[in-house]
Amino acid sequence: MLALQKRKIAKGFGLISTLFSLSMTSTAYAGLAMNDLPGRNQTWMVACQKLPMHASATGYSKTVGFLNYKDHVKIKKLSVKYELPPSQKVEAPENDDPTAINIVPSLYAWAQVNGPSGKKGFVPVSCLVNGRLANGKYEDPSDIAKQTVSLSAETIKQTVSSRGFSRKEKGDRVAMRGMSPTDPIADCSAEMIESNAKATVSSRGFSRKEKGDRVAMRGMSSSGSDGICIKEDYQGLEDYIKKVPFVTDSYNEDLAFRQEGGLGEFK
Amino acid sequence: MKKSKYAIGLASLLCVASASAFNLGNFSKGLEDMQKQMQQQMQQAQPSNSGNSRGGKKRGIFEIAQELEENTKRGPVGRLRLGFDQIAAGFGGFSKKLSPEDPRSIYVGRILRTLALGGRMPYTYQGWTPILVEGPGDASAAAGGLVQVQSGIFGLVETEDELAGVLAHEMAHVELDASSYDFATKMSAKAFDEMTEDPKNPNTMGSAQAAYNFSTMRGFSTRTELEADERAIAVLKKAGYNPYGLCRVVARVTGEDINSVERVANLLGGSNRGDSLDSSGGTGNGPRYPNGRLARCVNTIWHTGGPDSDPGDSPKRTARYNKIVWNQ
Repeated sequence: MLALQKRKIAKGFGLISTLFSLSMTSTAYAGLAMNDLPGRNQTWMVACQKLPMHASATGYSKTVGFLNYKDHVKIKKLSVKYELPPSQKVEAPENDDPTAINIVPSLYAWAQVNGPSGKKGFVPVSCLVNGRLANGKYEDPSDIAKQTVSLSAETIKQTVSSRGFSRKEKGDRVAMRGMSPTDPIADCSAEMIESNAKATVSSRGFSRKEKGDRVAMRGMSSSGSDGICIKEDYQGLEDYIKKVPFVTDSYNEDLAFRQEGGLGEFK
Repeated sequence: MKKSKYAIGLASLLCVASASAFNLGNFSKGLEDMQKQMQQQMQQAQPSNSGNSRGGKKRGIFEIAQELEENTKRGPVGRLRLGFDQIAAGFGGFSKKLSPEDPRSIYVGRILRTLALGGRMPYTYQGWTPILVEGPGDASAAAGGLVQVQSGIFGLVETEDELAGVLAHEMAHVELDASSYDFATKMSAKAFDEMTEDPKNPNTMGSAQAAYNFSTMRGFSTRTELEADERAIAVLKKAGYNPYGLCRVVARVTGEDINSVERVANLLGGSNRGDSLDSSGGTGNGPRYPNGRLARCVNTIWHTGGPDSDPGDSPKRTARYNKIVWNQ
């Protein structure tokens, strides 16, 4: 019985590996709505809340109209081709194999579309979805926070860990980034939070902590090796985001800012 | 007890991995160490109990695969959900937040949007969202365009161009979809684990638990940090910012001298694929950049059309920065 079970598993292993690879391949199309590449004359759905249409394939060109969430658009032309970076390509089967095929999908950043009113313009492909995504529960924007939590709490936690955060098994989340193996794990005591606040650089100039020779944690950072208390606050973040003005037309909203700074179309 | 021990071990390992990978001074050694440790951990891995059955019933391959597909395809809304949770997971740790109406919050938002207009993801479901908190000086970005900036960053950068460099780097992570990619990778590995588990002898096939923790490093690793720098340089140039601003911040963080960076002509080939990125997008025909984040930053500028030396930041933009951030 056990042998049969193992044979079954072994047989399934190839299929599973294939599925796994395919899944990895599909995630490589990450610049878009995961997996799907738009084609000419296809109809896609707008999945950004309010989407400006531009005169050409750059955000620095004039806004010629707006599309709304769930508007359907017909793809006329794709522009601004790019490739994903090496870390996101799928290599098969081994790194040292000279015959390995690197699957690097060519993607497009912009699409010229016909909107519902027949108006033509360029929109970023990253705001378009099709197929199941266009009809599925995952692109339903109602109550984002609540649905996120229910979506997959466990996998979200795993994802959080991967970003350099981790959790104590029993207790609050703590930051791991920047901590050496010998660093104590920070806890979320009031003192810790207070100390984080105090660590804020309040004076001019480069003033990162010089405690230890380790600097730079993930990406851009200036702080030293102290852990940062990590404590979840879904409601707090939701409340904060609600107060951030939603700029629907950044081309016009920030026109003076770009002009003053010699940026974008004014560079 | 055993599971808890394993989990703590894994958490420590992630800690080591994070610390090693993001120590910019000797990242390749850190990465090697991390890989070795991960391999050891995989060998010792115990099976996980993470969802190999739902309600005690083992699921079929296709059922698992279907769920995998459902959970990994994401559009702008799905990405925002993912990013929201990533930021919310640590948001409570910051006792003080800067108001979205604070001039510095508005300023960061304007820079973000200016950069975004020249990028591949000018808009997200509800726009690029700056989240400013009081903290030592880290910046991070999550799917959906949520960019969290600790106020200490204003002590690290000295000009708008440098601030734009940091923000462009974070934006590049979102553009390159690092967190979605990371999420999908984890989901894939988790499904793999569930599919391959042998119910009669789980110890023989439970290593995907460790594998998917290793695979998460595909989402955020030294390599992706370097790729984010490269992408950031392209975005900065397109927006009209001085790309050397980013390299200067890198130099400040790593303690290196930007003037000591040597030009790398064209170091093609070599077996160190993992350590040297090439600029060709994977064809292997581009120049290979040296190890070291600063050297790579400067060489990326040189190899992508310059300028050959730092032209200095725009005085107008620097004056704007001083006025908004420091009231000067």
